[in-house]
Amino acid sequence: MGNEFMKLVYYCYGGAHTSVTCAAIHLKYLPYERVPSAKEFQSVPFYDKMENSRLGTPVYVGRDELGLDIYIMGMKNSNTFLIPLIKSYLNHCGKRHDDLIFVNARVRLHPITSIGGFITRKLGIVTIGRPMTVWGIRRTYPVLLDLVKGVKEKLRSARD
Amino acid sequence: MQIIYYSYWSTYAAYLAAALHTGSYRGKSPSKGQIDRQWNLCKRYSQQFGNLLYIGLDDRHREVYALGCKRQGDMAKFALEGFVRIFTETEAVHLVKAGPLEGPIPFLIEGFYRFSKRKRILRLAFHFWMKRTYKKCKELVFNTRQDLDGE
Repeated sequence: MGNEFMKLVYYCYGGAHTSVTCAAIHLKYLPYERVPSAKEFQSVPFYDKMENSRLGTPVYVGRDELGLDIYIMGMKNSNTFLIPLIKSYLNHCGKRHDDLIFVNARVRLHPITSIGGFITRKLGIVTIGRPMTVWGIRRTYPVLLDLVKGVKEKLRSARD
Repeated sequence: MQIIYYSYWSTYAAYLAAALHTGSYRGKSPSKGQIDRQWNLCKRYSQQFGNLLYIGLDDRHREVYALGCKRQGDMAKFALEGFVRIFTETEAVHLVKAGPLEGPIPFLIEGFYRFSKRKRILRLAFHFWMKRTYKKCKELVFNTRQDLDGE
């Protein structure tokens, strides 16, 4: 583990909120020591931006301090077949699928986040929906923070 | 290049189209032996969602696969294309939708298979389905080949 080609994918249902927040925490765009303000959330790249018609597309967010490329992805509830599909494809291509790590970012969300996501993505009313998602995500922030910390810890110990 | 035929189930229309593409199935209609062999395949592997089934090489040495991805074909397509871009710079993958050719019969067969005591009826339904779908899949493969060869 720990070569230069390793990739880590945070995935969630819509690829717009929790996976983006996890990736932003991972890359230190969002702070570790406090819950960020609503403005900070809105300046996170790709936050609440993933279109439903593009679900499944891995989106590159950045490279972390361990040298891993960080991606986000929306998979709805299809992770049970999409992950095997990607890994089996890499296998067929002769690529090492150990170099690709999938992290499930579908944590238990505040219902306001889900409602906000629905309003933004399905109804297209961003002005109402986005602040609702931010409000909900701020309440779930400690859970997401723990998730990312756990992932980083595992990556570091695997590297050592 | 890799060509992936995908539909809800990997062993019905996707497999049929992929087998036609590689030349495993030839002729105007499928033989009884071919239908029985595909029926056996369906009994074993129809529930393999997300696992690529390697069917073989076509006459231009392109790898041909069948894939079952339920109703999430578009998502599977975006995911595969995305990871192909990430991991391979030279490889190209071409995904072909075979789902619309499948129709309702495979759903009925899969739905009733576990509970039905009269498997023979389901087998006959499969024979009927395959004979009916064979021509349509042949057309799909012909169009796909033309698209690919024209590229």
